[in-house]
Amino acid sequence: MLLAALCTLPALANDGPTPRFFAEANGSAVDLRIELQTAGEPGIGEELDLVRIEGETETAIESAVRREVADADYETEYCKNWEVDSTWGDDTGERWTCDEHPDRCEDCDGDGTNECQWGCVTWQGYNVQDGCVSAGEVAYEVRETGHDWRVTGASVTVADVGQDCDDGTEVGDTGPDGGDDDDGLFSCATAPAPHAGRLLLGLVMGLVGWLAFRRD
Amino acid sequence: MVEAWLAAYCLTLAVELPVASWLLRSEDRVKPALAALLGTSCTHPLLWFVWLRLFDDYWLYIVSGEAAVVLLETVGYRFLVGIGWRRALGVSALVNAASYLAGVVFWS
Repeated sequence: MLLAALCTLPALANDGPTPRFFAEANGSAVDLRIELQTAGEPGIGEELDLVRIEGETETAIESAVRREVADADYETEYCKNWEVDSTWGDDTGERWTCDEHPDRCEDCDGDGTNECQWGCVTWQGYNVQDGCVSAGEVAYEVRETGHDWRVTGASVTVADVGQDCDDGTEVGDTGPDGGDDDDGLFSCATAPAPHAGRLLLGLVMGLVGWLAFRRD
Repeated sequence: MVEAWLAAYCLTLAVELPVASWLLRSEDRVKPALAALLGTSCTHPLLWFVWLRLFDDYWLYIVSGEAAVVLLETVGYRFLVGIGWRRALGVSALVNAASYLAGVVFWS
């Protein structure tokens, strides 16, 4: 299988929870997960752009896509606000960490450690596949449509699959897929067979059949 | 994915049923089409949804998959239509070649 490196970059926080964003190479495709909150900034219900960045080249994977809670592919629990071991205090001005006072914190990720100082909150997760990525390091950003605020990024290294990444064509009765559809199967990770090769395969099958049929 | 499969499945049936009936026109008129229908209904989803997961390489996938389909459907023609093994293999290979080529042409 193709090698991939996974790396998530820290979100650039504003005054609301920014999207959580993960990328993982899958052949010459990249599987992306975007996790949003209704109170996020930007968040659910707002128009977002998803952009692939390869060197100096930026390519829009999605433009002005507005997601709703009902559209979520999955849900996940995470800390309501600051992350593990925050040293921010509460309203009393007291400074403490979850390590010092685990009884005041909650375990949102189910690992047995009460790491969330401000409790848990549900994030809605959305899966997106970027179907055709050239080998090398690529980065992704989610942006609020019409704004220059770039809220988060994820980068991933896509291995050289040794094949062209051009969209191909469907391959016939049994042929998933190579097409420009969105199922992701053989669309890029495994290049579709050249047209002449597929024709030859069909003709060979026909010849074998004709010989067997004729000699009976 | 399911929609793409359904389109391919319908195209496959549209090709294979009449071709099988024509090749075996000297036999029962219904059984060859029935064998094609049952065979394709079994092998087509397997090839799309199961076999596909086993291979990263397209050629390994399609050559081994088509060979397996031809052999499996040969059994169907052999016993459902009641013809010899060689003839069943011939019919199976011919109908699958026809539908495969139709798909290549159609989706080009």
